[in-house]
Amino acid sequence: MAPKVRHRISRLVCLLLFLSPLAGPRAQAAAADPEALVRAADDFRFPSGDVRFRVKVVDFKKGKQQRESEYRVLSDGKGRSLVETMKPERQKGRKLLMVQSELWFYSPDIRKPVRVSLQQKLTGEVANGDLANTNFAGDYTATVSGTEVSGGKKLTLLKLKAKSKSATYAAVDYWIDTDTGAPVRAHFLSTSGKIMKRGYFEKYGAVLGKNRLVQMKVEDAIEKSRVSVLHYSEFSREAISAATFSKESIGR
Amino acid sequence: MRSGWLVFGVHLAIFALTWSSGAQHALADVSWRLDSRFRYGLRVGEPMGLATLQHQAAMLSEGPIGDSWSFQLGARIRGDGAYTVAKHHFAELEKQDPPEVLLREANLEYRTGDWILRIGSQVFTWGEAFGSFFADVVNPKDFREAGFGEIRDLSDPVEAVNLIYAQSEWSLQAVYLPFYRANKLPYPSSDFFPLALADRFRGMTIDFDQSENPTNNDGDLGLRARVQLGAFDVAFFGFSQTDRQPIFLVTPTSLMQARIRTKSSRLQTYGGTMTWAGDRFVVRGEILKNINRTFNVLQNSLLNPLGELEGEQDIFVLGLDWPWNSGRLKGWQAGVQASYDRVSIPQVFGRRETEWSIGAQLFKDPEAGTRYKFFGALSGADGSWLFQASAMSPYGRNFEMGWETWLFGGERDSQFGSLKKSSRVMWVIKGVFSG
Repeated sequence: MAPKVRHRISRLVCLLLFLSPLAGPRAQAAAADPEALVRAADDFRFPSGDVRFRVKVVDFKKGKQQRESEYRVLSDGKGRSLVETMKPERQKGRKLLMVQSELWFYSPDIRKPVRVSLQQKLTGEVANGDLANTNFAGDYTATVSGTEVSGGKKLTLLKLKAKSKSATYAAVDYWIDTDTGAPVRAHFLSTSGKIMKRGYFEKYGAVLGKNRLVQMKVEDAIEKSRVSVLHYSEFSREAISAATFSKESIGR
Repeated sequence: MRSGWLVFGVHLAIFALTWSSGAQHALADVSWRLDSRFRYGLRVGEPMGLATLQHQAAMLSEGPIGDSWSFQLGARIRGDGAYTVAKHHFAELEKQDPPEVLLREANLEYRTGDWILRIGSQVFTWGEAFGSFFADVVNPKDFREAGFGEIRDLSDPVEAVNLIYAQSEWSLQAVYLPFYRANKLPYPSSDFFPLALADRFRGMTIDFDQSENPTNNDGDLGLRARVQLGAFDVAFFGFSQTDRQPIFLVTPTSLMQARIRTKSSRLQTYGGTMTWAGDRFVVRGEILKNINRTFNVLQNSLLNPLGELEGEQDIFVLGLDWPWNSGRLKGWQAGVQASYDRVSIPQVFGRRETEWSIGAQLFKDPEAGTRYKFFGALSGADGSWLFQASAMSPYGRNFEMGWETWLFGGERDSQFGSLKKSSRVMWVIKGVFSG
């Protein structure tokens, strides 16, 4: 074998050796379409398509439990969702209908759907948008920003940028587990690029035949002692008609 | 009588379906909510004294019956002890407006695909404005407190067949109401009976008969279409109806006695509503035209001061509201609204030919903590005004307690000044229970 050819082969071997640790999912993460990574991460958060589930939100301040609320969420995974408050009792029956960027609020106190501004997506200790948004891939464009190691895990950092005003946040820094593709943590950013909230995807469990998110922690970036823990449960997949996401249905 | 039996039949059908053995399994998803309220109020204007001692409990239950059907069943009991305690002030009100037990929402809904059919007693919400009901034309209103109570109590459910084809971005709706239901008006000895009307009959004994007296009641028919176009949500409707707001027919029975009956005539209402939502605020608008509406007009007769005349009415409402999501006012929401209301005939009783007003509201409705609400309106036509404020603090999981005040000012014959006798401060306890 000519020395030149030998040299080329050894370079190729070196390159293969260098790349071998990435030959698994990490390599896929680096090479894969970032949008595909977000879609895969979405599937760890919520099942795709029409889905119904409950979220229990426990708010803490300085480590002390402040209050507990519970919501029932219906989502079609395509930007349409209906969030109904189940607890506390005083607010039971309140609903927020989100159809892309349009929001309607219904309260049993007034028994009338009321159009509300996009900012209402951000109200509440946990933003209404956080409760209902099952689909980052639909709301944000993604780019791979880099990789890092944290807590013994290899993470891929995705920079998500809102496609439209209908997204809850202007941008999201989204860390996913390079090996599994599961979301690990996120920084939710305002239009000025300031971190508003930090999210930690804490626990995964068996949901509709797959390992999916069952607990998430959301920390206020300014007032760090304010923490909300979201517990997801009672997932079910069933066909939800378009009429369910209409203003005419919100009162039922 | 016929309508009474039909209403009874619909209610019976709902109960039967609800409690049938086949429905028992599905009833696991049935929810209910009981709202109770106690108000102790004092008049702050002349004559001062007890204004209200009102108890109210309203129950609403709803849920699916199988896969395609669902029901809604609501009832309310209400009574005001002030009518008995302060008989000297409220005169006959104890008998005229006795404690009531009302079956309110009682309807069945059938869904197939994107079609929705609701049959029975129900509430329609077509309007977009706050504090006014111009475009909420379908349901009669309970004006016994001049329309200043809680919004959910003001629209009385009506028996209707309601067919909707709905997509999330647009919908078509057809409604048919076989029976006539009128607005409930305050009785002459109520604090909310307009002073302008009371002045007309000062010193006379009035026999006020609110029994429904429609002319040409062939049932009401309405059509509505709604579409979302970008940030705009626009709806158009037409409604052929017997006027929910009756006029007064005065029959003098002697020099010192008069009988006042109510009468309702046919009219056609055409209108549109729109909302536009931006990042930070929402714009709301309503436009309405009432054709062939019958109004009371003043006439030069000592014995019968009220005549009747047909005319047209044009109404425009434009409002803006926005929430604060940061800074010191975080959690507060504000709104302003202007309305313009013109009738085509002169000398209309109880109002001016052209009325316009500007209203503003400021409220905070947090997930936890005290709820505040302030609302003020100024009539541009006569300078009268109203101001409402409330603060309700939570007590435990189920209760809240606080105060409410309603103040009215202006000339006796003005839009809000004619209600100044009903200015009051109230201590309020509310309870919410659900399952």
